[in-house]
Amino acid sequence: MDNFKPQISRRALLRRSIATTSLGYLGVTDALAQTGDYKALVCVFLFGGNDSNNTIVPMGAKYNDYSKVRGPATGLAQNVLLPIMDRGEGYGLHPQLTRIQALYNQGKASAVLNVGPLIRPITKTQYNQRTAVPVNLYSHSDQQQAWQQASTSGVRSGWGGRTADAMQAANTGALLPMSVSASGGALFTIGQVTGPAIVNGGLGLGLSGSDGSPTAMARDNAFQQVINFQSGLTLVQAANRTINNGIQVGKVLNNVLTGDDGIATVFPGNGLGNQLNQVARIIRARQTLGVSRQIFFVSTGGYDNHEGLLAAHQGLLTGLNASISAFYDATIELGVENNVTTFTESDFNRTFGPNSNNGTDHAWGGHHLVMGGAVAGGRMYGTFPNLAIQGPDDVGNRGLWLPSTSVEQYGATMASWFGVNSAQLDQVLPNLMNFSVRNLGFMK
Amino acid sequence: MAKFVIAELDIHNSQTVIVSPTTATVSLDGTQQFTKTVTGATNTNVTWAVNGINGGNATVGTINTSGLYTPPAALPNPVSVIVRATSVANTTKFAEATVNLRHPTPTTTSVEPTDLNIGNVMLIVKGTKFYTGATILLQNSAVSTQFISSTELRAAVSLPNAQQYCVIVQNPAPAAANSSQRCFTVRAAIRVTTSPSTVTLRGGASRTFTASIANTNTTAVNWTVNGVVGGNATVGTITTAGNYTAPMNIAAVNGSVKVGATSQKDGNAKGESTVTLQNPVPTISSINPSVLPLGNANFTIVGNGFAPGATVNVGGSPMPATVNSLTSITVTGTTKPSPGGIAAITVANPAPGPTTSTPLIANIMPANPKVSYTAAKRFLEQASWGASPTEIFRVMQLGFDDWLTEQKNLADSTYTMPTPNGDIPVFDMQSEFFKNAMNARDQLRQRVAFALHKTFVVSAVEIDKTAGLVPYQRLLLRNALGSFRTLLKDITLDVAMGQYLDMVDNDKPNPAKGLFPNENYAREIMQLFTLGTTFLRADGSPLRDPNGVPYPSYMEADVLDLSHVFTGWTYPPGKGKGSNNHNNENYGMPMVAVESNHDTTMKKVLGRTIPAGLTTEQDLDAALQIIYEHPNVAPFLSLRLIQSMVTSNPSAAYLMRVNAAFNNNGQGQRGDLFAVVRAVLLDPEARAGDNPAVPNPFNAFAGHMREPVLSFMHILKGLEGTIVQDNPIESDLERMGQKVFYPPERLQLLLATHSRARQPRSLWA
Repeated sequence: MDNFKPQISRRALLRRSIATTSLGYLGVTDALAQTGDYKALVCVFLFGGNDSNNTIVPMGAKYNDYSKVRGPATGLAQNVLLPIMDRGEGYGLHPQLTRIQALYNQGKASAVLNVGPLIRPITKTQYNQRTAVPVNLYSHSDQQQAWQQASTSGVRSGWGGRTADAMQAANTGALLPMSVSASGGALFTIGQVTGPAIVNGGLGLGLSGSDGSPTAMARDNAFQQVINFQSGLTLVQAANRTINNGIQVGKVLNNVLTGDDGIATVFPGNGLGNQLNQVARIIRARQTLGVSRQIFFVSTGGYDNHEGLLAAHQGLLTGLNASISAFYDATIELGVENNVTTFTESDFNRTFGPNSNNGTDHAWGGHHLVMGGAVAGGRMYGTFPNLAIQGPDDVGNRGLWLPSTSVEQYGATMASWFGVNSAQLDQVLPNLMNFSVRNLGFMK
Repeated sequence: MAKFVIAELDIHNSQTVIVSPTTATVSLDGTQQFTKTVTGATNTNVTWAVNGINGGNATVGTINTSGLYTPPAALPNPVSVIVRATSVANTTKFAEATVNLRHPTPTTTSVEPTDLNIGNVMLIVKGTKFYTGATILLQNSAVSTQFISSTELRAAVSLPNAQQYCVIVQNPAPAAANSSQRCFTVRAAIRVTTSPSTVTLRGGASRTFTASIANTNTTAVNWTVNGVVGGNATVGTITTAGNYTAPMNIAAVNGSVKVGATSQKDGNAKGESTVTLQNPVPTISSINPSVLPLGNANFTIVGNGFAPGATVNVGGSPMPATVNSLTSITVTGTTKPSPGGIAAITVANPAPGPTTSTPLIANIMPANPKVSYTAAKRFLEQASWGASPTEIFRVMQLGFDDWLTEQKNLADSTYTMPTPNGDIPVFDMQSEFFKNAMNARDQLRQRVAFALHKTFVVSAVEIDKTAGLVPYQRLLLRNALGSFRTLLKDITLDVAMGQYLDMVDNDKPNPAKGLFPNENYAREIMQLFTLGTTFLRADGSPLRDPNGVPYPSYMEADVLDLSHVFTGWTYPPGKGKGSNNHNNENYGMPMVAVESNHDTTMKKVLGRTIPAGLTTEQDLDAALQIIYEHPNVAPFLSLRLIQSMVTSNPSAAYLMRVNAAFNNNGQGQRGDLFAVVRAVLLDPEARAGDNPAVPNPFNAFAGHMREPVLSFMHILKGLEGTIVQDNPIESDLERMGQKVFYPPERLQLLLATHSRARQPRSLWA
C-alpha cells in the first residue's frame, strides 16, 4: 500500500541537499560508488505500436513466408536487410538499425522474440475460447499500460516502479528517487510505494524563470505559499504535492547537474536523443546523487502506421538507431556500459497482413531489443512466430501473433539482473508464477 | 571755596576756643567730627551751631553736642556752612570751622533692560546715591537723564551699534566723584527665521514649523497665518507650538499662505514660511446606497476632502459626478459588471496636487439576482472559458438555465478558412482559438467543442494543414449543442479525420494482394469515440464476468467487419471534377463515396447484421446507428463531458443522471447534446460547491483538474485580459504541456479512466 512520508522525505531531502556541500557526505557516497555496484535499466517505449514484423525479418528460406504477405508495398527487400545470425538461422534487421546490428554482432545486443502481455501461457484455442485472454488487446492506451504494468489490468503501478520498491535499500540516503522518467508520469515508473522523479528531455530543469534573482525568489516563494495552502481538498492537495515533488527534484538535479560539462557523446537532436542525453547526465552524477540502482523511462512516438508504413518506419528506426546507439556510446564514455541495460517496449506489434493503405493495424506479440554490456547478446531469445496467416500463431486472420513470451518473463529477466531476488520477483511481477521459465537468460 | 576761620583771641581775657579741624569737605552721606579746645576757663563746654543755628537744622546740617556734624539731605545754598563752637563760659569766645558740602559718589547696581538690541531704548540705571540732577554718561557722554529716585535714573538713548556700551552716573557738582562704569552688551536687531521655509501641504494636512530667533534671549514668538495670530478656518490654523493645519478647502487661499512667527519682544522681528497648498487627499467613508445596482445607478459618496472638480471612478471607469461639498459627491451614471462583483470606487481631486482616494470597495449587484456571484462564477468556470465579470452578471441576471438557452442560440464562433490556393499557419488558427475563447459570446459551444475535441481527436501533430483542421473545428462547434448522431456522421466523413484515422481511400479487401481494409477508424470510433473497451453499466463501471474480468464492449471481429463498412470513401472531388477511384487530397467538404471501392458483403457489427448490397453511405449509416444505439455511448460520453467540464471524479449517481439525459432529452430524443450538457452542468453534484460554506456532500474527491488551456483561460478571463495578435499564449501553453490542436498522437489528451491523482506516490519513501 501507499506509504506516505512526504514531510519526512522532504526534510530528509533538504538535509541531504545541504549535506552535498560537505566533504564528509561526498566521502560517503564515493565510498558507496567505489563498490562498483551500479546498475541501471532504461526502458525505451515506442508509442503507437512498433511494426516488429519489419524490425526483425527472417532471411533465407523463411523470407518467402514474409514476402508473400508483405509485398513490396509494406515489406522490406531481402537485400537491404542487415543480416544477423540466431541459433543457426539467418535474420535481417531493418536496414536503418546499423548500430544495433554491430552491437548484436559484438554480443552487446539481443532481441527477445514475440513478447506480449499474457496472464499465463495460452494456446490459440484458449484464445478463441476467451480463456485467460488479457483484456483490451489491440487498444493503444490499454496495451501501453499493460506493457508498463506487467500485471493484471487495473493495477496502478508499473513493473519498473515495483522493482524500485523492491530495491529501495540499495539507494538508502539517495538524493533522487530510484525511478526517473524523462517522458512524463509514466506508469512504468510508478511503484506501490515509490514514485518517479520526472524530468524533461532538455537541459533546463526546475521552474522556468526560477533563476535565484530576488524577483524570481519572491515569485517562487509566492508559488510555494500557494502550493502549501491547506485547502482540505484531496484532489487539490494531491496535485500540489505532485508539483512540490517536481520542484524538489528540479532543485536536486539543478544542484547536481549545474556546471557539469555535459556528455561528450553527441546525441541526435530528436526527442528521444534529448531524453537519453538527460539520462546519461543523471547517470554521470550517480555518485553525487548517491544512487546505486536507477530505473529510467524514455519514449518516442509515431509508430502507429496504419498507412504508408515503409516510409514512416524508416524514419522512425533511423532516429531510434541513432538515439539508443549514442546512448550506448555515452555509457562507454561514463564507464558503465556493462552496468546499464536498455530495452524496448511498445503498445503491440502490428498486423502481419497489410491494409489497403499500405499500412498495418494493431496486433499483439512482437520482438523487442535489449542492449548493453550485461546482455548475453549475439543471439536472440524466445521463439520466432510462424508467419502463416491464420496459422498456429495467428489469433486473427491477419497475422496477430499470440505471444510466446510474456512481458512478465521479459521484465523478470532484467529485474533479476538488477538485483531483485526470487521471492521479491513474485511481488514485482505477480503473474510470473504462471510461467515455468522465470529467466529467459538474455542477461549475463 | 574754603574759608579759613581763625579764632580770635580775647586779649583782655586769656580764655580761648579752638575748633579743629577748621575746614572740612564733607559728602552728604558722610559726617564730620569736630573737636573743640577751650582754654582759660574752667568751663570748657561749648555750644555747637551751624550757620549760627544752635545744633544746626535739616537745611544746613546738624551738629550734636559732641561736635559731630551730619550734613543735610541736600546741598544747602551756599554749599558751605560754618560750624561754630561757642564757649559756654564766655559766650564771646568761639571758634568756627568751614564745612564744604558736596554730593557723594554714586554707585550703580544694574542697567536695564538687560537683553538689548540696537535701537532706541529707555535705559534704566539703578544704583544708590543718585541726586537730583544726576547725569548718565553713556560712552562718557552725558545724556538727558531723568531722575527717578536716589536709586534710579532713566535716559532715553539710542544704541545704534551692536557692541558693548558703558554708562557712568555723575552726581551734580559739587560732587565727590562719578560712579564707576557699568557695561552692557547691545546685540544686532532680533532676527526670526521659520523652518521649513517652503512647504507643500495638502488640505487638511498638518505640519509643525519651528522658529529660530537670533540676538536675544527672549525666544517667544507669536505664530500667524497670513498675519492673523493663530490663523482661522479660511487660511488654516496654527497652534502656539507652530503646528499648522491647512484648510480642507484650499480654493479660498489662492494657492499659498504665509505662516509667520513674530518675536514677542520685537514686533518687527518676523520670520515667514510659504505654504503651497494642494487639494486634500480625498477620503471616502461610505456610499449611499451601500450596494450599487448594475446599470443605471445614482448614489452619493460621503467622505471628506472632495475638491471642486473632483472626478469619480467606479470599477476602472469614470462616472459622471457632481461635487456637492467637501464631504459629499453625487454620482449618476451606468455601472458595469466588475470582477468579483465588486468595484473599487475612487474620488480623484484635480490640480493642484491631483490625487486619488483610497478605494472603497462596493458590491455591484444586478437587481434581483437569480444566483449568487460566487455560484455564477463557479458555473462559468465549468460552462465557459472562464468567468468574465460581464458573463457572471449575465448568469446572475438570467439564472443558469436561461443562460444555457441563450448560449445555445448564439451564433458559432468561427475560424478563418484557408483559400484553396494557400494554407494558413496553424499558429494563426491557434490565435483565433484564443481570441474566440476570450471574446466570442458562444462560450458554452466553444467549451463543449473543446471537450469533444479531446475525445474526437484530430491532431495537428499529423494533420498540419489548416485546410483540414479548420473545417474540423467548425464541425465540432456546429454540432457541439446539437445531435450526437449527426456529430458522429460528420466527424466520420470529415476529411481531416479521414486522414488522421485512415478512412480516406480505405478500400475493400483485395484477396489477391492479401490486403485488408484499414482497421484504424473502425477500432477507434468504438474504442476512443463511443464505447471504450469494456462493457459499461449505466453508472459507468465495467460489467464483469463471474471471474471479475470485464466484458469487452466489442470483439476483434467487430473491428474487422466495421473496417469493411468504412471502405469506399475518398477525398471530395476538386472543383469541376468528377470522382475518381482515389481523388486528390482536397478539403472543405466531406469525403465522398466511391461505390466500386466499397465492400458490399454482409457485416456483423456489435451483434447486429448489416445486410449485403447496401451502398457505401447506407452501410455507414447503418453501422453508425448500431454504434450510436450501444448502451455504452451514454456513460462513455457523459463521463468525458463531466470530466472536461465539471469534475474529475464524478459519482456514479451523477453519471447515471447525465446518462439518462443522453438517452432521453425529455422529449423522447436520444443524443441531444444540449440536453446532456445541461444535465452535466445543472446536476446537483455539479452545483454543490456553489455555496463555498457548504461542503460537497456527494464526493470526497470532488474537484476539477484543469488542463493548462483551461486554467490559463480562466485566469485571463477572470482578470479581463485581452489578447492581441501574435500572442505568446500558445508558446506558454506548449511549455505547460498542452499545445492547442496538437494533442499527442492518436491519444486523447487525458484518459478518461485515468485516476486523477487522488494519492500520488511519495517520491522519497
